[in-house]
Amino acid sequence: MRWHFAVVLFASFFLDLVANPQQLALGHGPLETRSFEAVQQFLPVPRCPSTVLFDDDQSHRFFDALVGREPFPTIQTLTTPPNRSTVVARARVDDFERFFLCLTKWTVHTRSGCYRRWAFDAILLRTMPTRTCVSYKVLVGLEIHVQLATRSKMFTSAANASGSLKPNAVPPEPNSAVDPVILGLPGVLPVINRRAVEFSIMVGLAMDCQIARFTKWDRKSYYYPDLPKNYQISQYDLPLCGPGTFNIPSDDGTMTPVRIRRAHLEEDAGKLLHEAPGGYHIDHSIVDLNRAGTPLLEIVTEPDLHSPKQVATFARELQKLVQFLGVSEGQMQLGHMRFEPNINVHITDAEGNVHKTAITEIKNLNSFDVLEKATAYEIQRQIKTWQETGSLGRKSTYGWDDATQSTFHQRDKEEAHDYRYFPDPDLVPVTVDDAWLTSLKSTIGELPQARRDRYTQSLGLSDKDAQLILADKGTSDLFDSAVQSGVDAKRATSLLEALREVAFEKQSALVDLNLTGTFIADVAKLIDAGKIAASKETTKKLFSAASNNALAEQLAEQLGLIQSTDTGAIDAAIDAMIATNPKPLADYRAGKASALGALVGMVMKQGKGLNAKIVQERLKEKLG
Amino acid sequence: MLPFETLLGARDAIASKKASSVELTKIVLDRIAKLDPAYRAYVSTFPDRALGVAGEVDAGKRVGPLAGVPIAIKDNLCTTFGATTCSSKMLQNFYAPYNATVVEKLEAAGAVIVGKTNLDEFAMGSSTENSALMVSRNPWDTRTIPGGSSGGSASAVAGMLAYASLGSDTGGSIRQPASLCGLVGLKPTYGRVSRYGLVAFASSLDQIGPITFDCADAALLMNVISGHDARDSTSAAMDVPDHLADLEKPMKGLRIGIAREFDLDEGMDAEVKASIDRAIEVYKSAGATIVDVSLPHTKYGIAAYYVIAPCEASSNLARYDGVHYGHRTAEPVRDIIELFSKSRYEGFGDEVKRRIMIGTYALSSGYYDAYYNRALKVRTLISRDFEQAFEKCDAVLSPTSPTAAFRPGDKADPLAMYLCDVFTVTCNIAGIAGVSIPCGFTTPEPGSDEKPLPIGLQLLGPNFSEPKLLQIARIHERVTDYHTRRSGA
Repeated sequence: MRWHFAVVLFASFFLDLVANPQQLALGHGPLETRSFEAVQQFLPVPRCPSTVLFDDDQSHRFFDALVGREPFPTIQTLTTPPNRSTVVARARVDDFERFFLCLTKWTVHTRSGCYRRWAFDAILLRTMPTRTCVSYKVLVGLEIHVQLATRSKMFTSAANASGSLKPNAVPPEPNSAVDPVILGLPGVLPVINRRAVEFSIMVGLAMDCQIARFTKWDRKSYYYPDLPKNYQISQYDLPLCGPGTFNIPSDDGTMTPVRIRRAHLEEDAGKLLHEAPGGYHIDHSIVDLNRAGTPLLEIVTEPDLHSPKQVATFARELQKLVQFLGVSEGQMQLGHMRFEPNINVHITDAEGNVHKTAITEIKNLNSFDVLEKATAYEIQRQIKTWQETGSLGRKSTYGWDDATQSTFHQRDKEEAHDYRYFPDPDLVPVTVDDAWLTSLKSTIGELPQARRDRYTQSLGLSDKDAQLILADKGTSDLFDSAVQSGVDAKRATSLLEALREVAFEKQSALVDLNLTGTFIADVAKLIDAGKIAASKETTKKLFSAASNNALAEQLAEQLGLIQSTDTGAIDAAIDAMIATNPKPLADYRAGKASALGALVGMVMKQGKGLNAKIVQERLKEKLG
Repeated sequence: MLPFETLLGARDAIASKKASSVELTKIVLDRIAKLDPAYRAYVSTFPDRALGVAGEVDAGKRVGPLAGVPIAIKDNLCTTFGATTCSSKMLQNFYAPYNATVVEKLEAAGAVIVGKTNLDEFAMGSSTENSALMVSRNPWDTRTIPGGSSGGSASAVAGMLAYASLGSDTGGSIRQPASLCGLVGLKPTYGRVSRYGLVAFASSLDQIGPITFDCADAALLMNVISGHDARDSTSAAMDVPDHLADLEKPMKGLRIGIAREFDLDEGMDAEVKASIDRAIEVYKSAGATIVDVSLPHTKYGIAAYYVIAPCEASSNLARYDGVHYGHRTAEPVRDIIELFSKSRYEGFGDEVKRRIMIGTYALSSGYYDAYYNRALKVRTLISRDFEQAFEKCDAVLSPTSPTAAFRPGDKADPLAMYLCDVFTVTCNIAGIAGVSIPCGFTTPEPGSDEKPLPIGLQLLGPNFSEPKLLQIARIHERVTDYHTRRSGA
């Protein structure tokens, strides 16, 4: 293994490193200093003082790279102070693995004031030692924000425009769902939305969380115009829901428990736009407070997820849960659910040593796919960074860039705010008594995972069909109601599939079609009695025309869907078909039983509205 | 002079058609026009609106227990009419789109709100010297201040520019100015009166209460403004008793507590002490038993108060950032942080900034336990002190303020000003009820140009004891005439 070394030209920088030995220990072996002359021959740039100036952000990243905390960025832009000569640095030199300029602090004086810049002079880093990742273990914990679909906001009666927004609904005008409380006007006071507390407790109960019997509200201070009070009402040390467990299905059919650390209730912030809708540049920012004050349940898991797939499965299962509980619309693209994975990796190298990367958090993930992709990318990025630089990184926040399909560094967590939490004196603590808890327990009903088990185990549906029925609570309830009315589970599944297509074509939710289980049972009876065709085409026509109080049979008649059982007409159609289609007939007679289906189809085309079962019977007889 | 001695007198005269509300209102408005340039009690007045309301009362369209009587309110109570300034540059042009609950209640009771009164900026102060708009004057001697922070409210009543007023009390801001202006000032139990629409200073300490000529007037106003409000979660869901019902009833076995911790050696004016001793004699002759009580944690009261109040204030005042409303700097700014800091730098006065800084510091990570949390513990101890004291007595008697009214600039040191609150803050910290009533006057040295200035005594009672507290205060009032004296013409 080759040791890499650095040549430090400027003592100031060297002293910096000496003063912070841990930074050295993070990635590299010891840094060696050499005289400038000793390495000058290797340097293809003019002799110092060569000055390349970067802004603070760039210098920060370079410094991280230098001490091995981040991979090296590429130099793209250089800022030049007015009174210094500039030499452009080359970011890479072929002779060596890495070549960089040394950091020097400059103070630039201009007429508008004095500000700090960093300059770089030559630093040389030689080849990295090779690091082998023999195996690794992924640890992901999730922070999830769920907007609750209450009618009004968390602490006031303003409409909950964001949390209760339906997928196809038109969003309200900006700043229309506001009132003096949302605007943070002087003298107004928050009042707890009891329903939001109930919804949160329901989620907590469904995840087997310990529900706090006494919980309070705290103010979290930060200055940003998305919450005009400049503090967020949240729960700091006494969350509504304590530790719990949420099980997610694995590939092998078993359930994997994921520990829940806590879930607390808070208010969402508004939105700040820095460009006009449509991407136009503006010289100010736009504030929309419609989202501000939306009840927000923040759920935090333990790092019990070990693959991107598990992360996505957890997210989908949680979505299903909150939707079935009826506490959230759960639409990720509408921001009803926001997942922030906290990711790190335990890497085992060839010598059996374990290297633990620093935890990074990814924000702004707006779909399950992106959540999975970003998690996968970030895991690989952490491993690759370690392999290339030996760096374990440091606690920081990353974003997801859809264009490059990669994560990007946003900020370091060491710059964490002091939120100055303290109990909100405007609100009273919430106490949860047995009676309240019992009544909430009774409203929870059968959860999606239990329903799935029932569908696959008791009713014998395939996983795929069960999934389809469990698309939403309305579909599942309708299915159950149809089955209760006596419909066979498989028949009910295919009828609901037809119904789903109708809903899709009508651009409406399945439940909004307002069909009952009895209606579906009636349709099933018509099929079983041979009165209508079992085809999806027929049932879709029926569902499509169905209205609230229609009777299935009357409707089928009106639509001309009732099949003819008139054997005379059927025989005539069979004869007509036989006369015109010698080839398939010959095939059938030659023993191709599969051709029968095609023949039946052709007879059906000859005469409209024939009963397929009778056609088949008589055809068989005739061809006998 | 105002016709009718008291709010109640005026109310009865109007109700029995012996007086017209319009005429009374006109008299009050005329007095304001004539005298307020000297008293500087009012930040804003609403002559047309007031006369409109008065007209409705005279026409019989408005009725209620306060029908037709001109009243003033402190300018930290939100109103849909006029600005709500808090005597701050920050809110000088702030027009609230809602009425405070107490304003709604006053108007529903038929009161004629003539104007809004001056205060120390955001109610932080004891003299109105911290007002960004003006310093109010004490009508008993316009060279002195009326106290604070509800100084304008006290000045308006003492100057007979209103029959009564509302103030707010966070650490003594109703009782101290009432005391300095020879009036009755009641700080209700925390939760008795809705805070909705009161611009928050320290949410867990703030209460709105009346400043009046006498106890009956205070009782009348308490009947109107008390009660649960769904918009204020901290308001008590309890029935409101009739505060006037037992006011004149004789009391048997009354026990007045004297706390030895309130017996200050330093900073206490000898004349104040003498007046209090006389008041104790008054109670003795009325048959009361005087009992010694101990409030051992009183000495930590000021310290705890000046942690809790600034902490809450630093958070409550965070919203004034120049973004959504309020003062915004006219200077060019580079970014949002500069907009915040320049707007706040320009919009807030020194005392407000001082308290925001103290509060921000005390709530910072690493200091929370040492300051805020410890202050909360003191709070519990002070509450317990009072609970134990009230097992032995019905009310604790003390001076309201260690001195009579002082002149602007006399207490330039903020700490000296904070000590004005030494008798009053523990009441807010414990959340109990307290009332200040007039109990004497200073005697100027012969030949000096000093004028006699009012002295007040404070009675503290348990939670929701306001009716009884007023009943006890009334005993003193019945045999003395301080409450009938008026500052001038």
